Amino acid sequence: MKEINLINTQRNKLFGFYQKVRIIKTIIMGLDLLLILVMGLVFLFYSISAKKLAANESKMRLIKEEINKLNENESILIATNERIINIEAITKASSPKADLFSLIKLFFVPGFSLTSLEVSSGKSSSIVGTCVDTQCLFNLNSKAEELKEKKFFSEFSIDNTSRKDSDPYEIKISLKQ
Amino acid sequence: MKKQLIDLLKENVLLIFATVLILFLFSLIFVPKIKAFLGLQKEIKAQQTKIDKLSNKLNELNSYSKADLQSNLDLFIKVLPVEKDFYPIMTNVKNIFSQEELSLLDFQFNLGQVSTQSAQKNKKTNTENFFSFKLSAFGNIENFEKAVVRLENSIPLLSIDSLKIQNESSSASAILNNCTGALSLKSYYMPLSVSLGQVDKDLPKISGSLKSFLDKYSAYEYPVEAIYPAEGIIVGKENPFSGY
Repeated sequence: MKEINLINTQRNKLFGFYQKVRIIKTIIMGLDLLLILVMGLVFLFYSISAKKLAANESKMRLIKEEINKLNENESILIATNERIINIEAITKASSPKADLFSLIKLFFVPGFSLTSLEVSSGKSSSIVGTCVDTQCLFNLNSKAEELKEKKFFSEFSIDNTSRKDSDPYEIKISLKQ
Repeated sequence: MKKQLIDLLKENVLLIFATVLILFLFSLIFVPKIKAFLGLQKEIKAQQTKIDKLSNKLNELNSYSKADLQSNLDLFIKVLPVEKDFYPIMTNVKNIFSQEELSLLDFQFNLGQVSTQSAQKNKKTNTENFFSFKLSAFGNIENFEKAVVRLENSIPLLSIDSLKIQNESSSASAILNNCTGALSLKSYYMPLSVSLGQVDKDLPKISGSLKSFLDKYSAYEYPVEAIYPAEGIIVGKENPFSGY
């Protein structure tokens, strides 16, 4: 008959329990130490960062002071820029009239005589003149077609052609650049 | 067994207390500190960007010569005066028409409100700040053409709104010799801003357009004699039509 040693069994059980407790204790202590280490490191980095922030703040203040010393230069630069923007806007909005003169002169075919010239705001203009004969009228029309073909202007129309007795032909032209 | 557990707790009371304390500190102080630390890092990054930006601005400002900047602005103020400056316009027109052998017949300014202190600039680009004036002259159409070209290439900046040239005599030639020309013009101005620039703001990038503008407008015609009388502009003291 086999014997059952109760004391040994109990001792073994207790030994296993204490073994487990020791392992758990070691793990808890390790975790505690790890948490303390992490906290310490974070506090260290935090204080370093806070110092860096303060240093940056003072560096920024110094740069700003330097910039303030040059505020006259900055003001001049900004005022110049504002003017350039406005000058660009003005020149874009206005159409130069000098170009129109050279364009209108192209209509001066032989026999044509200019009576008046009107350039309104924008790019439209009207020419009133006289042509001595039908050949001149034909030449003027051909010239206009040629110039329109070359895209010198976008619109061209002969608004009115009239003749009184044997006077030259009176002609009114409207054109748009 | 119960007794053993109690003994075990008694033995490890210090460890239990320390662990509870560490966990308590961790959740109460450390977690918010971590958040603050991350926020601090973000702030430092933003600060660094700002410092770089400010340093660049400072370097750029240091690279400009004040004399050059001032002379550029002086030129652009001549192009676009700070107020309704009719004196150089009048002198310019007078000079150009006289040199192009055109007789000024009539000259009419419409200055409106004289004080430009009230002309508040409220837009970035403002083509509405102008005063208009009209003039009529007598002469040859060729000379009118030259005068128009010169006027459009002169400063202070002006634009010709409308132009009417009428032949006064019947001429067989296509070129009008005796004609009357009526011009309607606009002269622009722009008041200086009350406050200019902020430390944190970037400098305008004008280096590209600046050179072409300087080249263009320094070649433009500006009346040499447009020097103001010491006591200010005395309207009516000088006859703009003298010499015709």
